[in-house]
Order: sequence, then C-alpha cells, then structure tokens
Amino acid sequence: MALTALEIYKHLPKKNCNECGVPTCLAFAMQLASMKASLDKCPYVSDQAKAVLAASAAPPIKLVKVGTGENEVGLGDETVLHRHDKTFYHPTGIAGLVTDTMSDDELKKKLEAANALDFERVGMRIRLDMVAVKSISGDAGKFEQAVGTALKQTKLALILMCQKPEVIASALKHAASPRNP
Amino acid sequence: MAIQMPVEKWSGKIEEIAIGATKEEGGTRSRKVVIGGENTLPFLHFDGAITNRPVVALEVLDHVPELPDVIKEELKDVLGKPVEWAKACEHKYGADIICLKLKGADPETANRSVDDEVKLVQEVVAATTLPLLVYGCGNEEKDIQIFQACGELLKKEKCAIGLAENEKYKSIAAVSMAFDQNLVAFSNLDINLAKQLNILLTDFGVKKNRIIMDPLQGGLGYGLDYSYSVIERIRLAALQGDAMLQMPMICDASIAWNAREAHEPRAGLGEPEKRGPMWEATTAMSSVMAGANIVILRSPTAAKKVKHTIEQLMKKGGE
Repeated sequence: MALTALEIYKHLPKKNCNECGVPTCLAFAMQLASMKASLDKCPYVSDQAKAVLAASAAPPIKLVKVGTGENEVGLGDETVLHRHDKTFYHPTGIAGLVTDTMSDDELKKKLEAANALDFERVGMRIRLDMVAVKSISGDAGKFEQAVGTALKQTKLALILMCQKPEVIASALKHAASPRNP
Repeated sequence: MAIQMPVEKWSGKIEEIAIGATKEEGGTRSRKVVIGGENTLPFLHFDGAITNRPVVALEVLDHVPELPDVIKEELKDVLGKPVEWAKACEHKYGADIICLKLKGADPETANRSVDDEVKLVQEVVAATTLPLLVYGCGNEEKDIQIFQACGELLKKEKCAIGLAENEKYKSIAAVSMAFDQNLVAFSNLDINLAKQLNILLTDFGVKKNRIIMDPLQGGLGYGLDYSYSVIERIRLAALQGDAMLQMPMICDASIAWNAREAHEPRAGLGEPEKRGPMWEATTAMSSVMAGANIVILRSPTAAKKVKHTIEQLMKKGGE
C-alpha cells in the first residue's frame, strides 16, 4: 500500500542536504509520495530504508507471466480499480476451455479453432490469450494425454486445471519449464 | 493469519423507484418492480445493501423498422403484432418490464397517427399485467399529444415514460408531473450533461425520486467501454454523495444490433443466430456490471441469459 509523505519521511536521512535537487527531506518525501521523484536521487538513504520504500511503491497486485515468447501473457500489475482513475496495463486474459473427457478428434478441432480465432479490428489484434485444459475425469493418464495434445497443437499459453495435485504433477512432467503454464 | 477485509462505506444511496401499480394501489399489474435503493457498487454485497436486483425489460415495437435477419427470425411470431409481442414478453420471454417504443409515430418513419398510438397503448396495457415503460418517438408535438391522451391510464398503472433530453425536456416533464409518472432522462455519454439534465428537471418541478437516467449504452465494439466508464463514474459520484446523480439508471442494449459484426455471416466468427444474441447480452451485462438498474433487450434469448446471470450475481458470497 502506498505510503504517505510523512511515512516516507520517517525513512529518509533528514540531512536536508539538497543533493537530490530538493531543499528539504520532507519536500523530497512529498515528491516521492506523488511519484514525481525517484529514490535513487538520494545518496544517503540506507539500504534498509530503500527496501522498505521499494516494497511500498510496488503495485499492490504483482505481475505474473504465463506462457512464453510472443504468446506470453502478463497478468496483474494494476494500480487502480477504475480505468478513469489512471489506466489499465494488462487486459484480462481470455482462455478457451478444453477438457480431458473430449475425444481426440473434438480436442483437436477445439484447438484448431482456438488457434484460428485471431483477427485485427480497428488496429487491435483480437485473439484468445490462453488455452485451459481441465481435468474432468480425475484420471492422471487422461489428463496427461489431453495436456500433451494441447502442447503439440497450440502455442498459446496454457492453464492446467485439476483439484488433485498428483494429476497435475504428472502432466507437468511435459509442460513445466518450456511452456511456463 | 486473519485478513482484514476492506469494507467501503459510502455516504450516498441510490433512489428507490417503483414501476407498476397492483390492485392494492389502484392498478391492474400483477406485480410492481422496484429498482434502486442500493448503497454500494453493483453486486458488492459485502460492502453494503443491494435491496433490489437489476431488472430486464423487453422491447415491443409499434411498427417494424429495418432489422437484421437474425433477430427478425427470432421474433418472427410477434414482429408487427405488438399486442401479441407484449403477451409473449410476459408468458414466454420472462420479461420483468415491457418497454413499448412508439417510434412509428415519428413523421420521418411510419408517421402513425396519435389516435392509433393511443389505441395501441390501451391494447398493450390490457394485454399484459407486467409493469410498463412507454417511449415516444422523439417528435415533441406528437409525443405530447400521445402522452396527454394516455395520461390517466399510464398514471393508474404507474408506468414510466421517456425520453427527456437536455434540449427537449419541458413538455415531457410537464406531462410526467401532471400525471405523476416516472420519467426517463437521456443524456449522450456525458456525466456532466446527465447531471445538468437532472438539475433542469428538478428545477422545473419533477420530483427527484421520479427520474431514471439513461446515460446511453454503446454496443459491443461501438463504444461499450466508453459507456461503461461514464456509467461507473455516475454511480461512484452518487455513492460519494452527489444528490443530482443518485437516480437509478436504465441502459438500452438493443443498440448492440446496429453492429454489423453482431449478425452478419462472417467466416471464423461463428453462427449469426448465436452471435447476435450474445452480442446484445454482452452489451447488456456490461451496463449491469457498471450500475444499470434496468436493461432493455430486443432478443428473448439474450434476455434469458442476462436474467440468469443477474440471478447468479445476486447470490451472496458462498452460496
């Protein structure tokens, strides 16, 4: 959560040396609070103070990246609830759902459709961001197979959905590092 | 570790408005619909009280304008037959309210006579027991005659009439006051104009708790996000205490059908029969999430989806 100027001031060296370009530490604290200055302008702030202030300046929602390369999707990293307060940075990811109870044929058709849904409109690229593979059967073998098909048939970022950790673990054997699901 | 749940306490509250008069109140509606009354943002039950759910109004047209094939097919049994249409809204389509639009009275369209429109209003009122909204055609001279002739009937059934606009509001406001009706006030995607119209109306003598605001809902792909922002800001201002924005809101999602992509056959965009209603439902749900208390829909398929989604959203957490 963002600190107020007074809260930030408590962590500053209070030398009023003007080396940051601002005559008093309190004034500098006010600029930091309104994001008009950067903490690295202060040569005397302690490492501990730097850590505390950095943590509070970070957006309240972390950035999580799913997928890789040009199919990487960034989620979170927002600073406001309403767009009119500033702006939004990462659109909500939209995933198409496939399940492990679908026949191989059906699964392939869905993945083809997922890949094909990609068009331009008024200068914006509109497409599915991700594919979610859901375990309905609860069976590790079936899930692994569905995930395997998805990995081969689409380059989109993947979401693996299952209530049983051991089923996900077996599917992750294939999916883990290269595709960042 | 216990999480301290942040709860927002707003100082403002949305006005509560009832549409429809039951037998106890001197009318013949089977039920009345109450909108507004909430003291927090849409569906955030943990922040406050959301006493009345958003309601779904189905459109009934007095004449048949140019319409996309997809919706013409869906409404083929009732298009051009407004009395049958009203009955279908009540018995088949699940409408909470009927929105009877008398656009055909406009000299630029079908130029239906005042007498024909008044007769139609009487027939529709008699054919259904649902609460009603009645919209004129926008031609002040025609509208005023229609509303005056129907005044007593619409008063008895506690209907709402529309639309008042910034440049033309005096005559419709006068009628709404003469017959103590609820009035829909339309502004063109501008929070300041919406507020200004409310001030003009209340200064003129319309009671604050008789006004429903229509801030203009843009269709999906044609300004939906812009509308969302305006509606959201209006609702936030109301909750923060701005009395001149605390009226409930109504959004007309039928505008979604103006988008060609909504219903034209297009490779890769799925079947038009599914796409059209979804286009309208998405438009409607966007306004509901932003703060609309009433949504008007043309497609019965879309209306069912929207009503079902609203029911889910009205369940409090954990249900």
